[in-house]
Amino acid sequence: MTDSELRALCHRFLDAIERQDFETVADVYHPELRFWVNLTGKELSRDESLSVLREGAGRHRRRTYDDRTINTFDTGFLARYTCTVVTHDGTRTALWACLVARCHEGRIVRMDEYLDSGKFGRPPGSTGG
Amino acid sequence: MRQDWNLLQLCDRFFDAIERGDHETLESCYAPEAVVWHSHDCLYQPRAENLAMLEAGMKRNKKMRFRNRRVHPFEGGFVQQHTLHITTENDFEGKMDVCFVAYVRDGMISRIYEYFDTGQIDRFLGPTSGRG
Repeated sequence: MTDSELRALCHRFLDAIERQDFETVADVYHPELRFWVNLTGKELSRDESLSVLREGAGRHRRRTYDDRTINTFDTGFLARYTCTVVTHDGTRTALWACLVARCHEGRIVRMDEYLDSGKFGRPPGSTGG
Repeated sequence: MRQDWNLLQLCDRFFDAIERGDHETLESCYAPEAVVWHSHDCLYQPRAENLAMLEAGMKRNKKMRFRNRRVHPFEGGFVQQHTLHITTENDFEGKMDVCFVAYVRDGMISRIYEYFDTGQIDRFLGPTSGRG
């Protein structure tokens, strides 16, 4: 995949999650997808990841992936971003995260996401580990 | 044009130097303007402060090892995913999954973005580490 194709795929994926468009997310996921998150150290399959996204959709009013910085390499992309979540009571929380994805034939085959659970529940702008 | 081999060499030189406690080589990997950003505070740490922090860690811990290194060079830098294993002065063996992103200028690292989970700090430094 070219640099442009990888960048487009990254935006398509993150935009789809923002819109809660899980049909597009499913289309972006390769059938053999493995999704690893540092918080648990465990890998999810394609179906497990889609279930987690669908189940979590109602928990927030809005979730956006802002300030995206994307770098592409031969087999995939690195995305760094600010994930901003607005809960139903209007509270905004931001956390800074990154995602390393391996891609094949227009789909994501593997994702490793790095989040900081120490940031959960803190309002944007607050600092300190 | 991207020079993957040079980027991979720089990456290995940097992490091997930390493992060996080789401060001189470590310092040579940093450009004069190098800054290090961490996902837990979103602040840019100056070069001298970061080098001092790394040196203190190399002296304090009995062992530091970057295992399961997975490196992807890209235009202007590289990303390395690894698990940092340490043996502390109290013989506690901790580990932390880290994503390390480096932007490179003239063969030296000029900016670093480091991502890890501070919620697992006790698993990394030990329950009596005293860190919040």
